[in-house]
Amino acid sequence: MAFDLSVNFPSCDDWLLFVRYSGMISSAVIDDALQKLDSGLEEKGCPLGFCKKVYSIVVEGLQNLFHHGDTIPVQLQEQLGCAKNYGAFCVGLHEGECKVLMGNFVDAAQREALVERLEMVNGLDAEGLRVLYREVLNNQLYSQKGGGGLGLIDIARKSREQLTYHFSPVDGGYYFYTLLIRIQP
Amino acid sequence: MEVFKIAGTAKTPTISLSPDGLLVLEGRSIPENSIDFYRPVMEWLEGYAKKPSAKTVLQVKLEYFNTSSSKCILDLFKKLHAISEAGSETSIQWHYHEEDEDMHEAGEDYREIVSIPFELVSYPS
Repeated sequence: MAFDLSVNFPSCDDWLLFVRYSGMISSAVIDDALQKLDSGLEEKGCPLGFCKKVYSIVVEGLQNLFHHGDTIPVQLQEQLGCAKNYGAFCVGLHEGECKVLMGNFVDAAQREALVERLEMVNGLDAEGLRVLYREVLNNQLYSQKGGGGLGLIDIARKSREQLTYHFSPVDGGYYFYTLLIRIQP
Repeated sequence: MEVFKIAGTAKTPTISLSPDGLLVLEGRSIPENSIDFYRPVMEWLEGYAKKPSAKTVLQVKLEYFNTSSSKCILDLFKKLHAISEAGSETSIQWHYHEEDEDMHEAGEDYREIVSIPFELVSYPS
């Protein structure tokens, strides 16, 4: 069955968009997105603290897509035009806040690990996230992909809002995972 | 020992490491693979630790750093601890923009973990 991004990932048409993309996530795509975001935030004249928070969260989110978006159902690779690192993202202003929406494919095991981690970070207050961040920073080894398990904790800590997530089932036991991050000015 | 210098890019920081004990890390540290980037920095510090200057100061002035870099930066700080145990009077200065509460908080995170003198220095707009 074909994958329809419009069904699995919001269009964000009603956002004041800084950047929107779907396709293979490469280092060049990330660089281009960050450059557009940088320019967009500067153009809007956003306060420095807010700009830096948004930029940091987007860096982390996009690099998560880059590092962890290598699961693509074989039956969809031809349709999507890539064998790995397919992802989608939107960053923009909507309803008085900045929103960052990201999506990528995951398998059942990844979904389980993500749900556990997302529920954990969503269940912590600012102090709890601070303690967890420091503990993971100081005690955890590097993961195979060069990260240290800090990405979601860092995003949750900086956004100071609940992370909203959804897993849409896709053929073959896979899911399309979307994560919405909200940042208040 | 030779001075170690790397020019900064849009994603990687400017690094200047001098055998006279002044170490500087500034700019943006957001590479996709921080381990590869910081490897030569750690190698230089290992060499420096064998015969450090009487005083070693690391000035960190980062605009952004990703979580991949955060672990490398902590490893760098832990290496400085080893340098202080080798007899060098060692300290870290963490510079942050006065409006950047996240960078201030990051400095506090490191200050709590690291066991050598760690100063938070704010700079104005």
